[in-house]
Amino acid sequence: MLAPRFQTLLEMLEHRASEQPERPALTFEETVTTFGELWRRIHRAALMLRRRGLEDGDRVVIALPNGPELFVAFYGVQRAGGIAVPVFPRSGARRLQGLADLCEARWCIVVDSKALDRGPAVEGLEILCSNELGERGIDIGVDIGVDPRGDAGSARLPKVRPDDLAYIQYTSGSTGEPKGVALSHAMVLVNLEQLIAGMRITPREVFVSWLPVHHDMGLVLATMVPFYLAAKLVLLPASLTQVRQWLTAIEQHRGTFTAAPDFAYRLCLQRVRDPAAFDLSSLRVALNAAEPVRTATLEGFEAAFGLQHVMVAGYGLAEATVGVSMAEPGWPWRADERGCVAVGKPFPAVELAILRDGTLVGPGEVGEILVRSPANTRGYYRAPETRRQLFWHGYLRTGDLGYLDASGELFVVGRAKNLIIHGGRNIAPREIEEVVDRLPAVRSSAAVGIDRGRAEGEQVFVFVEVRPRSATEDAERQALVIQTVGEIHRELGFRPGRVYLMKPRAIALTHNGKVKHRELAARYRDGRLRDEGWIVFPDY
Amino acid sequence: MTRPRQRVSIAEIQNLVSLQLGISEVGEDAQLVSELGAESADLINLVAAVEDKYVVLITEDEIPEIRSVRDLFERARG
Repeated sequence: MLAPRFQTLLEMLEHRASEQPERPALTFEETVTTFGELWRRIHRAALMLRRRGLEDGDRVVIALPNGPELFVAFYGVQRAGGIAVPVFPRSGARRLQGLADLCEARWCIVVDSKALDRGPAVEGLEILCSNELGERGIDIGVDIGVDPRGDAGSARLPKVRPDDLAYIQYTSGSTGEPKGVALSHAMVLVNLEQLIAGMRITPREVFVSWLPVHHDMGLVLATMVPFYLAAKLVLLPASLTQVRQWLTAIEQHRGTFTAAPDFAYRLCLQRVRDPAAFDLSSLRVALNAAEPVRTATLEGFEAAFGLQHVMVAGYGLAEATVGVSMAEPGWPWRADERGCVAVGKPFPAVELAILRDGTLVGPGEVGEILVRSPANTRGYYRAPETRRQLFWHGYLRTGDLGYLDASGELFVVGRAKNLIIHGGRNIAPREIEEVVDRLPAVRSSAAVGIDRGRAEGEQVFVFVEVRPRSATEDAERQALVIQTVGEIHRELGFRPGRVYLMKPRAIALTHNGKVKHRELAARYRDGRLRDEGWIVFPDY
Repeated sequence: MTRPRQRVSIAEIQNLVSLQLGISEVGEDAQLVSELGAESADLINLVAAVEDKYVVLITEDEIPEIRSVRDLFERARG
């Protein structure tokens, strides 16, 4: 039932290039890239990387925004026998270095190497610019001509096998050290079959996506699935400043399939005052996943845009490649009395279970969600010690809390991990705190997620304890906050919702020195931090 | 928590934008998105900061109209 028709992701793309070379693989900002062209560029990139000394199994960090170059780099690395490590494209130099160190990567592919100069030097890491890859006129030591399959020079490229790792997806672990989810071609291809069967996706589907391609849902569901089926893909830049562009693209291209976290649909509801001006009637599926799904969003979006049974809730995680379950399109959504939305029954060959206090529990009982699937990772990259925590008797431990109802449908209740979900991206507090703690005037810091009910959902609030005799004047305090925001923005690519400078010992610690994040967030929300005088700056 | 309504100056709003966006120099008429690089979430956080500091309410409807530091100043005055 789940026998993928290709052995590797490369075979998939090569097949498309040889059978349908003129067929568009994707449309990005009005430019069409055909499967033939994409494969030629991938092939050239692979030859170039090989010539530069890439060896089998070498890791290559890829920090590129949405666009054809990202696919050329991602699959070019794999075609060269390497392992792609796609990361958030606006990561700062220190962050890139940190991720490269974790997987011992020798290369990093970026848009503009000069842009990295602002940060600390990136040592021992060879920086390649995406425009050096796979372009015509670059000396790759062989003329590969116009052969649509780009076979010339193949003899120098290794044979890639189904069990070879295709890529490593970094996600935030609860302790803050990013975890590299290692996925083989076989695992990813199985998940593609699961997604296609579970969502009844056909080659006639038209995908419209702005999701960041470096991350699981934007990568696997929104681009690999259309490549697998040779379905139409309209890719947009991963920016939601202009939600109208997303809706316009759906209307213009008669999009049938789109996916986004709940906050993106909320933004549409709140920013688009003339929803009747958009004709989204072509949509078959608007998947709502990667964040808690709100009933108000499901109701509101369909009502505003005149749709019925199109928005469906789904569940997944990078450790299972991406997709685990999705509610049935074309049917009314279901929610329980707490307002938790059903995220559907598991996809084919996925088994779900609920673990509480060391044993599996029955329908209706809340516990940690467990997933058994052939698309599950076998573990985090080069971290064998994490295997015991990640698995329970062959099941993957998700760290999310939920229950199965009597019919086997999954409801997600919350998360067990101490993560902040910011714009659909999971961030561990520790990742932010490490950036802030490096500032000389900072004694310690704590980052928590605060949701004030606005469309954007949870925002990162940072509480900073200042060193004695540092930042005692308002001008110095102002400068320190500006520096803190600037550092977070440069390293992690977003700005916190608020930075507060605090009195010493404002941040409560456990007896073994860990920050009590939940308690801090509660003390902020109920006004105690302010009323008890812990907040030094600013005065709001 | 209620606090007395404060008088608003443009310099205070420049300071506030500076703190929220992590930028030292912010002009009175700077455009938030095109000049200062604010993103969607940053705009929401700027609005929340103004609401907290000046005890005003800015509705979701008004947010798309806030394009510059001066627009924010006008909203802060209520």
